[in-house]
Amino acid sequence: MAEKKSWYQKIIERPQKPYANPYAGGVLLGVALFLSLLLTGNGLGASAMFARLNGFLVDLVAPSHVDRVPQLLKIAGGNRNPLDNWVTFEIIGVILGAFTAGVLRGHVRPETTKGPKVSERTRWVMAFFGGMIFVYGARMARGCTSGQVLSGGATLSAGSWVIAMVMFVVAYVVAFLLRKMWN
Amino acid sequence: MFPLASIDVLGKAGVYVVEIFIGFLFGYALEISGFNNAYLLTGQFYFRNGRVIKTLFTAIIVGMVLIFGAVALGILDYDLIWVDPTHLWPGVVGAAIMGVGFVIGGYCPGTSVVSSVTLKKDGMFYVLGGLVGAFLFSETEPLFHYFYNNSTNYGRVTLMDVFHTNAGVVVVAIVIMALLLFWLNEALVKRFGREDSAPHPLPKQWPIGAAAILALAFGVWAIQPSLSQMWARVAPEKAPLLEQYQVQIHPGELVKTMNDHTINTVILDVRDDYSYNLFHLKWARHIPLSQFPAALPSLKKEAKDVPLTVFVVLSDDEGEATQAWKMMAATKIPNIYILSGGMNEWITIFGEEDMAEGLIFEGATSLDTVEALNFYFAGALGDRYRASDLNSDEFTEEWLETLKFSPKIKLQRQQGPVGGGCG
Repeated sequence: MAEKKSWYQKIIERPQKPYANPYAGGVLLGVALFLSLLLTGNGLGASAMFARLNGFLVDLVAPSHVDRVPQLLKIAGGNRNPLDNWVTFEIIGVILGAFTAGVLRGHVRPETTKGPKVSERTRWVMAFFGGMIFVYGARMARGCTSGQVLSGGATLSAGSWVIAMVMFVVAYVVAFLLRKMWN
Repeated sequence: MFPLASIDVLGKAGVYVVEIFIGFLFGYALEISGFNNAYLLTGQFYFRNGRVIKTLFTAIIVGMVLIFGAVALGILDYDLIWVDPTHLWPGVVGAAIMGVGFVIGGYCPGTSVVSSVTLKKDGMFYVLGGLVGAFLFSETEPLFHYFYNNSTNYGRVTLMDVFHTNAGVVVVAIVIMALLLFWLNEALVKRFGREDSAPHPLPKQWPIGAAAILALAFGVWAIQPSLSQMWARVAPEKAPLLEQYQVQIHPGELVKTMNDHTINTVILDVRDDYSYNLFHLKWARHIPLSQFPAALPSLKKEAKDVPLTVFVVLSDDEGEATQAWKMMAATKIPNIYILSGGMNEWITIFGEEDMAEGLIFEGATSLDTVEALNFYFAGALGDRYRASDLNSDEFTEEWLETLKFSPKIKLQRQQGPVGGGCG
């Protein structure tokens, strides 16, 4: 155990490198999206993973309930395994990629990122409810920043561009109202 | 030709390996851009750094230019990639909810995963909350099931459909707008920006980057294929069908198909106004050949939206109809046929009674220089001839049998996207 802990210490104490130029990150992201469409025919996604993981958990706990909920029936009905889907493996890749980048650049460390005026506990509560609200909205919109704004935006879906604009406008308004939280 | 029908080529396990590779790039790019940190992410909305706009819109325009460049070159089939369908109002409501969640939570779902992996506790709480959000959605969706699925479901609608233009124009317009957005974003950060833990002044080489993406966008516009180039791409497969007379259907088969109500038979009359007004079939949709290219996107959409749609193109003979057929084949519209012999053969078979009544006469009219019609008419009666009525009781099954034609229509399902979305 002691050895394992030292590995952990090594990772979280790696020297911190600055984040990349955001435009450069964007180019890499754009190339990843293109490769995804070229090789698999689908774009990038994330919110679908939350829906499928939820379907998987409900199917474990209350399989009969799945048949009464159209959204779950679609992904977990009958013999369907909700995790047997492209997004599961894409997210496994995301985890590996993010961890690799985080280790290489010394960004893996247990901490809470927050505005300077709020406590850690407040931030955790807000993060929980923010995640809940966002994913609810992402299910309603059939995709989040990855599936709609990025993938739908680049493939020129009309609805995705509407979603992108509404999301940003609302975010700016809410950000102004909640400015104490982040400044 | 891409996208790979990956499952056939690589097997399911192979596809999943590819997905892990793509996800790796996705996660790597998000992490190095600083999106594992909610303070940096929300910096967008307080003009601290403008990172979200920079990364997201760079990714969109780079991806877009690559995608539509590959589509224009015929490497990638746009019909087979996933394009989010437009459900307008659910999209707007969902987007507004996402905007709220973004600021309260500090992440979006993808970035929260990246954040959790780099051990940010707020990212982990976000992921947990996100799971609860997914649960609440699936439980409450029955309450607004109709709104969610059917209220404003427009299917696959692209900006090209909305603005009635080609992909090249849209690509150039979006790149220009993105560059203006970058400029505004930089200016706001410069004007109002406060200290940031990850500052990134615009590198000196920015004009090169801007010029490069703009040049690529204009390149995509310049290489948009014409209809004849698109025909040349499908000709090896489709031209033999014309030559071997496999898509020219006998008039009797058109009547039979029209009377089969499980099939949506669309008759496209591509002759000029003059010929159309003199004589045409009932229910024929009139799209003169000159206006045909503009009508292709809506025909394609109809083929997609209405299952079992069969298009039958006709002209006085077969010449103009064949030109129209080639345009449809070039745009990959399925189930397209030509009326064999055009109006000439039609009137020869079905026009006896009209001729007996003195409404139609045999004899060439030389007004049409493209293709000659072998009949002339007492007046411009449009579809008020007996021969115009495809559903006439006189065209009984038994009578159709006497025409002795071999049916050629074979319904094909239009190939949809190989990938799926997040919905």
